[in-house]
Amino acid sequence: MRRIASFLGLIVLAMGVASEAQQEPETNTVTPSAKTARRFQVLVNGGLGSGGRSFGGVSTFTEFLEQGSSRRDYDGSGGFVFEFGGIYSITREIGIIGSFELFSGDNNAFFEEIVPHPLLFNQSRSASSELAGLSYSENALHLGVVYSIEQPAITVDLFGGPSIFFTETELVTNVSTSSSYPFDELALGSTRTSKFSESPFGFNVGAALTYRFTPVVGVSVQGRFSRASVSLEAQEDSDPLEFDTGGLRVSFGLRLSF
Amino acid sequence: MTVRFVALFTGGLAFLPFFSDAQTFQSARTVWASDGAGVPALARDVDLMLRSGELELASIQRDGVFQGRTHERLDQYHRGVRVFGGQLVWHKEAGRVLSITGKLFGIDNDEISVSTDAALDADAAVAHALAASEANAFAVGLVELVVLPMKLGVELAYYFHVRGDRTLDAFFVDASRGRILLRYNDHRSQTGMVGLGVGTWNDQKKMTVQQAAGTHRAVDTVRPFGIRTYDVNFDARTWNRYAADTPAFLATDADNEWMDGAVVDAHVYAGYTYDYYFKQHGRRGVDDAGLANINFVHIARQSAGFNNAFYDPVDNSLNYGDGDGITFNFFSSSLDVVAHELTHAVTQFTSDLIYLNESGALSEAISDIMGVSVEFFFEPAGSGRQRADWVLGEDIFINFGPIFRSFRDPNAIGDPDHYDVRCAPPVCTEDFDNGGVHINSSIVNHAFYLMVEGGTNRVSGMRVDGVGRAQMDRIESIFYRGFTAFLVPSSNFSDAREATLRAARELYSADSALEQTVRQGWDAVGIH
Repeated sequence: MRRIASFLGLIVLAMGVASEAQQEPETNTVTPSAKTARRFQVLVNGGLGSGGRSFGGVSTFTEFLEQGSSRRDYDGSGGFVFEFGGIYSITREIGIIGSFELFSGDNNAFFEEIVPHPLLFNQSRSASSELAGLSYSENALHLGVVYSIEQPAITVDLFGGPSIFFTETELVTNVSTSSSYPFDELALGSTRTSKFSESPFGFNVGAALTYRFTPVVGVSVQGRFSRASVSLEAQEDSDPLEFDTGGLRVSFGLRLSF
Repeated sequence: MTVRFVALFTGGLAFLPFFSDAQTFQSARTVWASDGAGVPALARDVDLMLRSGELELASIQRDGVFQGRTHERLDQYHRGVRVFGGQLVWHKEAGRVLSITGKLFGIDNDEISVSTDAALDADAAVAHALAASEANAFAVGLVELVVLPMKLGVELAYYFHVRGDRTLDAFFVDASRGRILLRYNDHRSQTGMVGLGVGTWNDQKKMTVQQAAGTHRAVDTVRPFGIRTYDVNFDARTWNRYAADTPAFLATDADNEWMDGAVVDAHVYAGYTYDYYFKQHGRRGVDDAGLANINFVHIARQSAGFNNAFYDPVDNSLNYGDGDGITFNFFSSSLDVVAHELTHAVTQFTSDLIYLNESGALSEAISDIMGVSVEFFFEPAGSGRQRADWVLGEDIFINFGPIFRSFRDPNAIGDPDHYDVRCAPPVCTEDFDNGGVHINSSIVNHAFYLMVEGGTNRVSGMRVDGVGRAQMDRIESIFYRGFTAFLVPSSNFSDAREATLRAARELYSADSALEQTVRQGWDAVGIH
C-alpha cells in the first residue's frame, strides 16, 4: 500500500506541474489544431502483448541422507491487452499521459523432482512433467510525458515515464512424488499451485500514431515497451524467482478529444 | 461481515458432527457438501466469506487422477489473521464447484472474538521458544501470527519452527505474554527410515532401520520383506533364546549413525541380495512369499576364532562369525559371502538339495554363483576390495589377497576344475566336507565362468565361447531357473546340466546360442 501511495503522490505532483504550466500564456499564433484547441484526450486501446517471460529456479532438500532438488522453469505466453487512459496537453507539443493497462496471459511450467534413492547412494531418481495454462495477470499504471508531432489529420505521440505493475502469477509450489519397491523409479503425483502477487516499479516508453476523422474522433495504433523486475519467493531453500514483467504491447484504439 | 452459513440448513449438505482434534483444539465444524443440490448454496456462502476476507485462497492443487480438476484450498481468517487449522477446499472442474469440504472454527460456538493486536513482537516470541529449547536450537522458516483455536480458549499466537540437533519442533507462543501455548514434534517421519551405516571397510551405506523406543533398531521396514539383524553380543544364551524374537536383542543405535561394521554389512548386504533376487529374478524373499530374513552377528568373540558364516535351515537365520581378528575380519564384510548364505535359504525353499556329496556341492555352487552375481550387480568390476570379481570371500581377509574360491582358475587354490579331478572317496567322504561340498562346487562354478567369460578348460582343453559380461544376466537367469525349478533334493551334477539346458530352452528357445553356450560349458568341465 505504501508503494501505491507513493506512486499516487507522484501523479499528484505531476498534475501540479501540469497545472502550473497551463497557467502560462499561450504564445503560439498558429491556428489552433484540434489537439491544442482540445486539451484532453481519452484513449481506449486493445491489442496483443508479447510473452517472453522465462524464469525458474532450483530448490534443494535432504532426503535419505542425500541432497535432492526441485526444479521449476516457466515460460510465459503472450496475451490480450486492454488499456484506457488520457492525455492532458500542457503546450502544443508537450503533455502528460496516464493510462491503466490490463494484460493476462498464461505461464507454462516445466518441473522436475530429483529424489535420492532410499537404499543406495548416488542413485537418485528423477521425474518431470509440464503444466500448461497457469494464470498470469499483469496490470500496470503508466504515467509519462508525451511529445506530440502534429500534421493536419495525423498526430504522432512519443511518450515515456514511470510505471507501477500489479502482477499475479500462478506458480507450482508443491509436486508430490511416490515410489514403490525396489524404488528405482519415481512417479509424479499431484501438483499444487499458488498465486503470488508483487507490485514492482518500472518504466514505459512508446509511440502512437493517431488519424483523426474529425477534431473529436480518431483512431490510433500504439506500441509501448514497459519493464519492471519481479522477485517472488515461491520455494523454500531457494533463491527468489526473478523475471521481468511488461514487454512490447501493440494495440489499436480510439482517441476522443475534448 | 460474518457469514453465518445460510446453507447450513439447506438440503444436500452433510455437516458431520465430529471434531477435528478435541483433545487439543476447539471443536470445529466439519463441512462436507458433495451433491448437486447443496453445493451451489454452500458455494454462495463460501464466496461471501471470500469477499469478506473470512477465507483466502491459499493454494490450488491440480488433481493427479482427473485431468482438469483442481482443489482450491481456502484458509480461514479472522480480522486478517489466519485461523490455524481452519480450511475449506473447493473441488472444481472447468470452473464449476463439484464439492466443498473442510473444517471451520467458530461456526457452532461463539464467534471468534480474540483481538488481533499483538503486544509481543515476533523476535521476543522466538526468544521465548529458544529459551525452552536445546542449546544450539535456532528458528527456521517464517514466523506467522495466527489465531489458535485451543480447547481452553482462542489465542493469538506466533507460529514458527525451531530446529534442534535432530529435532524440528512447531511452536505456538502467546502473542501477548510469551507463554508457550503449544509445542509438538513436526518431523513427519515414517516408522521405516534410513540411517547412515559405516561398513567394516569404512564404506558408507544406507541402513534401513526402525525408529522405536527412543532409539533405532536394525529392522528393515522400507523393503516389503523384513530384515532383522540381532546383536548376540557374544552371549550364547541370547543366541539360543532368539526364537522369542525379543526386541531387546536387536542391534540398535541411538543416533542412527551405525558404526558397527558387522551389523551394518550383514543388514545392508542382506538387503542388496533381496533386491538382486527381486530385480533380476522377480523373487520376493527367500521363500518367494516375503519371509523375513534374520541375521545374527557377534556370535562369538574374535578370540574364539569363529571363522565362518552359515545359514541355519531350522530357524531360517544367517549367522556371521567375527573372524579371528588376525586373518579374518567379520564374515558379514563381504557381499558375496552374505549373498551366498542367503542363497542357501533360497535353495531350502526350492530344490532343498541334500547337503552332502554332489547335491551338496550343487547347493554350494549355486550359492557361490549367486554370490558373485550379486557382486557384479552392485559393485564395480575390477580387482581389489569391494570390487566385483570371479573370486569368493576376498573381502573377509584382513590382508587383501587370499580367497575362498576361484571361478576362473579353481586349480590355482587346489580345487578341481573338471569332473575327472573331483574330490572323491577316500579323500572326500561324508566325514570330510560332507563329501566335498565346498571343493567339488568349483567344477560347477568354473562351468558358469566359462559360459560367461569364455575360455579353455585346463583338463579337457575344450574351448567355450562365453556370452560376455554384458549378457551375464542371461546365464544367471538360466542357472536360477534350472536350480530353483527343476532340481530336487537328490539331484547330481548331470541333473544340473539337464536342468540348465532346459531352462535355456525355455527362456531363450531351443538351439539358441545361449543353449549352445551352456552345453559347451558343461562339456568343458566334463559333466554330461
